[in-house]
Amino acid sequence: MISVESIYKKFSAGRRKIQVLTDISFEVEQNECVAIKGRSGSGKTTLLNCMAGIEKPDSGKVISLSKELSSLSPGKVSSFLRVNTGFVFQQYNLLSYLTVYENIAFPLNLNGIFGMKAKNRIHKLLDMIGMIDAIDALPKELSGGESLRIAVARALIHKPKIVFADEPTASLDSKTAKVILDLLTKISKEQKCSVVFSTHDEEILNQADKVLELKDGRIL
Amino acid sequence: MSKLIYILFLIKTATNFLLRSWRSTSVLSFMIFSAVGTMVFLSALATGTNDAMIRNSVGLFSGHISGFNLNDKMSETSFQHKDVASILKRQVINGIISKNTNIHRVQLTGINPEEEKTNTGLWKKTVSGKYLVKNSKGLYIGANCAKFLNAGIGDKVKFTDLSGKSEHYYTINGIFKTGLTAFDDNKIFCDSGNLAFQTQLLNVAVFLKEGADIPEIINSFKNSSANENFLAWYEMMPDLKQLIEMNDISMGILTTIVFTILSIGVSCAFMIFVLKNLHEYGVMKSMGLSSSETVFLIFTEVFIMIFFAAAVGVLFGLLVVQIISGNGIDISSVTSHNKYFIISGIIYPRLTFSDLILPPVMSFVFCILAAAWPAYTVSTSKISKVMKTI
Repeated sequence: MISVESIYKKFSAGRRKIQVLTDISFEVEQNECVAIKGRSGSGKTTLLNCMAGIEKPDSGKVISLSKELSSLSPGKVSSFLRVNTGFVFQQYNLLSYLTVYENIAFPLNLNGIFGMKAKNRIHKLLDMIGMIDAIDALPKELSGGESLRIAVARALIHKPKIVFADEPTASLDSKTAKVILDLLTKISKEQKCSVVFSTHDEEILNQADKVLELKDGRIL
Repeated sequence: MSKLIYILFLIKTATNFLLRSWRSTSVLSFMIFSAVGTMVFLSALATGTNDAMIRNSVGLFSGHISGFNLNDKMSETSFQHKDVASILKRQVINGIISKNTNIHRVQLTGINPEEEKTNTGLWKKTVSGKYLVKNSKGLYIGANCAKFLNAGIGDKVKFTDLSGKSEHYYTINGIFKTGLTAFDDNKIFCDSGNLAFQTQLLNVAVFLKEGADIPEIINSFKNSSANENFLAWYEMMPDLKQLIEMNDISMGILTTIVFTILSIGVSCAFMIFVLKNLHEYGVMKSMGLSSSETVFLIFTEVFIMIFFAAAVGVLFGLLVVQIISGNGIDISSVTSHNKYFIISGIIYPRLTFSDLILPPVMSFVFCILAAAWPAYTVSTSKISKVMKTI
């Protein structure tokens, strides 16, 4: 489903060049849940960004759903992202001026799904994650755990083929983190989509089918 | 249909963005509103200033249209037009005025003193004696002319026509001083009933209503009277026309500078407004919003904000102009020393169509330009880079 083939990525920090990813290769199968483990600064976020297509590797290839992402034009990357991927960010990144309902509806609307069809799907998902009461709330009115649930719902609402989650539980207590990650894996299994998440939390690694450890930009 | 729904979704997103960022939206809208309102008022003030200059110039004596050397048998119907407010007929004769050995060439004009007093401001320029009254036998002469003759109020002077065959004695009843050499040197007036000379020459001063089409009226006079000797105020007073054009240009420059300064403020604030939300645009792009849709979203936000703020600004400017134009802005205390302010020193701001259209158009152009750079930045930046922006 996703094939990462020998990717390298460097960043500039002032006059220095920092090698963030070095010769990374692995595969993610359909319906598989892959965890990328590593300390802060090990390159997890960059790797997820490269896999999702929102960052280009300096060399190597990411082939996702039979498409080589770095060869796609910006317009095609946008189309690919809107249809095939969902992203749960470390800081949740809910759109601050949209309500919970509008935030979750955003990817659906981008995919041309409006009206009752969209409404039913959003209500069902909000019910499933226990957030139906917060449907009209703005992100600033939500707690960290609630925001993460909404971010998960937003990533899954349009039934993408791959969901990326960048340290989704980093700022939550371990109990809440486990509940939410359970939710993410459960729904993604139901929707038959692959999940790739990064974490440095050992306790949630058992949720994954496969664990990759990243250290200094290399897979151990 | 689905395309339309999709566009409506983007417009709704832009509207939500503006409404829920209401503090930033209010501040920016207030800047646009005040800039447009100020521009509308300044434009109306410029038009009102020009009106005041014209009113003061044509109101002294000449009217908006002057007819020269017309046949004194011309009928009233020759001057009938819906935009004519009043017509003053004047009989003129050129000749020599003398007192003892002092002689001076002048033009004697027989007038109806009451009608003249109602429609013109020459009587306000009396510096000695009194203005003419109906059936008076006196003479109303310019201060310079009186000086040449070494004559004063109550003195008798002799007027002789250019043929030298007719002469008549008048008593000086009043002396005026306009500050205009052509008037103060060579114009003398008497009641037309006391002219005492036969003349076939008639001059007319035509006063028009606000907004009258002067060339069209002149053409109508020429056609109905078979006479070509009609001139508009701007042909008789090219210096005034030039002054008004210069005033238009300088007011245009001034309002552009004022608006540019305000617009720079709006532009900077708008840039901050867009840049502040760069991160959110990045999040939307990570969900698949394309670059062109991001640009559309930003420009829709700008357009909605300008549309409403500029509309309220125009209405506010209109309201202020309506309120002030009732009594006008009285600058008499500043202009009282100026001899050219004959009729009044009150400026009545007046709006023209362009005064209403230009300010919102200018604000639109400036704000669109202000939004272009942030829109370009968001649309061309890599998603990961934009998302790192806080």
